[in-house]
Amino acid sequence: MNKKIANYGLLIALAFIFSYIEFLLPINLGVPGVKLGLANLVVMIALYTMGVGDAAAISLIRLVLVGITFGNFAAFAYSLAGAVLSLLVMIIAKKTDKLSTLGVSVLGGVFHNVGQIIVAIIVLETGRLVYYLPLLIISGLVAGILIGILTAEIIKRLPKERTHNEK
Amino acid sequence: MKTGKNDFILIGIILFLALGIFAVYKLTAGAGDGGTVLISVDGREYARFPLSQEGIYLIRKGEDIRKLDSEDIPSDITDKGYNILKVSGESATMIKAGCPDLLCVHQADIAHTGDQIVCLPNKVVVEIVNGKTGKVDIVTN
Repeated sequence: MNKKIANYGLLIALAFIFSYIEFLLPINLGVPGVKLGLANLVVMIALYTMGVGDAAAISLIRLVLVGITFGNFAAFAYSLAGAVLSLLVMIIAKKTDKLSTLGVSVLGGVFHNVGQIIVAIIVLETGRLVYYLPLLIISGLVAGILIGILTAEIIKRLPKERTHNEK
Repeated sequence: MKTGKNDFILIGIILFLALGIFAVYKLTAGAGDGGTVLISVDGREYARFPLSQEGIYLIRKGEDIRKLDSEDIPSDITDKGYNILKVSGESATMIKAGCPDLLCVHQADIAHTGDQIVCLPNKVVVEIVNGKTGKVDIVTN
């Protein structure tokens, strides 16, 4: 139990710092919402080394912390939608056992952006935002590939007893 | 699970979907955005109405815009100072003009905010402006 609490603290702090780094160094490609999503690296690691519930808890706690610290309500709503949808899709994708960390992470990245666009369309009441969807899908895809590769490399290097959950 | 065929198939499908949505959007974007036609002559605004107000309009300097029943030039017009604009719900195009070069007639249909048809000899400018201002001022990310 104590070990679990320590793991939670470590991973949440890491995810929080990753979010902070992205907040400090935004990648501006002219389209809002394009970012690497470094925090998803932590969620992926949690998903593969701890479990579904732990990954969800870490993701949500990070979200609330970041929302309170750097964001406003609008940003929080977008992040929440993105994170929840992305997490659900990643959990399902991992359960099917047909994809590696690369595929799971790609789905996570893409659906994070899809979730945000859905909220934006609802909030702004304009279907025209679908226009951004292809761009955000591609950006989620690229981010997902990078995070997926990083996750695989990190899991390889983690001590064996920490990766019991990895298939 | 090692990275394998499934992962690459997935990436391919996602790329295909993104391009598909983009293509569909591009193909349907011609539907326009319900803009407003702004007709001005010699810098003065003559008329402003939505693209959905279909019809054939006669533009003459110093006269009110006249709505025509057909594409024919009305018989009372004997000089070259006229332009005939066709508004077809989603776009507007100049179909006839009295000017010598007919550049305005050859210009492409206009449908999107900012598009213009200009007739220099008659000093006619037809422009699409966005009639309604959006409800949203700014969107943060």
